[in-house]
Amino acid sequence: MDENRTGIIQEEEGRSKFLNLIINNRAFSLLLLIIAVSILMSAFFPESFFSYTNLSSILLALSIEGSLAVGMMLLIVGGVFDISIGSNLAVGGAVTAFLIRRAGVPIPIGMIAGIVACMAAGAANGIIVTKVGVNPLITTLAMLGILRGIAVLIAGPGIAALPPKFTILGQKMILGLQIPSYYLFAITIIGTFLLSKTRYFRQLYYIGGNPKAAALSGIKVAKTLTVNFIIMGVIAGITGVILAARLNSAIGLVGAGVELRVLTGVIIGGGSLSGGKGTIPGAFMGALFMGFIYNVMVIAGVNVYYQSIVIGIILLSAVSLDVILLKKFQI
Amino acid sequence: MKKFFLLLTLLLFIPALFLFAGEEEEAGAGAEMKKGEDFHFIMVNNMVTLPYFMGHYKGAELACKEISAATGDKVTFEVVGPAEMDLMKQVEAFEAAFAKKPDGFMVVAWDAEVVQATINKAMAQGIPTICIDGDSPISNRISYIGTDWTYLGREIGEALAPLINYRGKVAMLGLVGAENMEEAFASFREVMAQYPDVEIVALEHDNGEEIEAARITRALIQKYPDLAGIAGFDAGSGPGMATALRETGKAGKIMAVANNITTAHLQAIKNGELQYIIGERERFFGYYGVLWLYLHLKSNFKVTDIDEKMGIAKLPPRVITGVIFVNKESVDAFWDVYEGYQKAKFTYGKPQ
Repeated sequence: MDENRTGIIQEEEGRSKFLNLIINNRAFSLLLLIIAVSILMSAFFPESFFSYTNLSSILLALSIEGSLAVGMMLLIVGGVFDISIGSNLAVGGAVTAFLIRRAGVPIPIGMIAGIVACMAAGAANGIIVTKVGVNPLITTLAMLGILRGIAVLIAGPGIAALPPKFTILGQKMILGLQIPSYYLFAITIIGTFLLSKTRYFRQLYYIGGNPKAAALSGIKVAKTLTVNFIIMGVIAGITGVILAARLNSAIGLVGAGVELRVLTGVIIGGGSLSGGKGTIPGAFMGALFMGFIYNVMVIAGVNVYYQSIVIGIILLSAVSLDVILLKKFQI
Repeated sequence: MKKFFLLLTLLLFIPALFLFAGEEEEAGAGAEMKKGEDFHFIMVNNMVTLPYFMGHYKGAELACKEISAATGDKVTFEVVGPAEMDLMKQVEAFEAAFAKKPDGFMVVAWDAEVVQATINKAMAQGIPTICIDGDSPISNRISYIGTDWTYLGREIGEALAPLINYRGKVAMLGLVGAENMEEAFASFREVMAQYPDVEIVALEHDNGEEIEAARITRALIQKYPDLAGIAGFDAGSGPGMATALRETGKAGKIMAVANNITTAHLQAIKNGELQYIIGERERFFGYYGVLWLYLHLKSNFKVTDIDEKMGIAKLPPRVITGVIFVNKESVDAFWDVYEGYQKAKFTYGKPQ
């Protein structure tokens, strides 16, 4: 009798741990969701969906949003965000392509200049938000317009036919995956390490949770947030340069609207606009979930006229389910 | 004292008489001397810096120069509209442009309904308005100069069908929901319907973005490994398709035909990623746009002697400008022209 009782308690504890993992670890719950949909999709579309090539396609499509989501999650945890990233990445590609193609500058210098330009934009965002005290939404919204204008000014109507030594950096295949996927992995791993293992970046949780208390406890709030805006700028620069290499052209309009997709992925991945919450694996999984859904739409052959409705319903359902589970089970 | 005031009055009044007399004389002389009139036209557009639109602007610029040189009038134009794809911002720019008191509008109607009210407002205010490239036939616009998208879609279909030997699976990419695109999709389908062995398996929305077109093309290749052909209808479709075909090793295996000519499209033809590009004759849009507005304002031509009474416009309601075909044989000849567009800075945001 006692043994049976113990078994039931263990089973309940086991179930509750599993449920807790689903509820409290967004990366894990998203992974489960992706696995569940993947099983369904594989059953219905065994040849087209369940393949390494399709995974490669999803990761490639994810490489921009996923990388940006890492930087955005760092900011979101610290209680701020940056919606100028789409324009900033366009600046990175435009500066690099202009210098390489038009000014004849060596490729590495062109690339560094593109990334540094984006870094400077990130620093400007950080300083205006933290030192001047302007709301991050207003600051980065204004910067979105400024940077888009700069990208269009530099790239003009577009800079195409970039040199092969440059484009290989976005087009090379390694072990069946195109190279931007590896940049995504590297950025995600570095981001995960920074946010989970280093004291400096873990401070972001305190800053995002209660910036005043964080400041009183000796944390340099303004400096830390500015550093993270700069990191966001660097990531935008890297993605912009790599995207130009992949597409073999730099376009002033590229990346428009990417900020909303990234923010959606980050929030789905467990970030909170009020700050203090979120993980890098969560951001990665959130972005992966978004990319995954877009891929599913095409593979499943959902009529194009219904796709945005279906995607909206899936996103709302996923977030609603999460909120319901939290309310019901969180202790 | 009275003499002093009389003298003062005369001193002030008489020079004033000369002053006014002089002004009248100058104004009269000016009117006689004025040999040329100023005409300023505004092109209202979306995604104004796209390479694709450089042809529009170049055409308008040429027309302004030619008319100015030939007539002694000073004809200028400028472009207003957002750098991104935003229909509402286009309308906002359109509305704001009224303050510039233009002599005419050329509207690239990306959506017939969205610009309809503002076109009608312009016409009601006596500002002649024509549509170029994209039409709003439901509005009171005077004329449309541009591509017949039904014809364009048919040409894309006719180009793709022999490339795939009139059989196999075909996919379409474009701006789904845009009226001109829907016309092209419909005629493309009509062409393919003639060939029973051709199956259109997908129509996807790429939002006019290269990266989106690349993502979708990859997914389509994944879903249909035996895809025979793909047709791109907007400016981002072709380069995006080319990127995906290159990345998946399907270039030259899946036949690809796209609308629009830019260096990215031409490069894709050179690389063998696209087999055909069917471009519009963009310079026509701007060139005839300016010419049409000028003729509307200056010409005394009448279709009948009772035009005004019967409401007959002196301009044709639709002018179809045709298309340009480019393939591997002709690509080099077109390269320099479009490379020039690519290097051109967008300077058309001020009177040209």
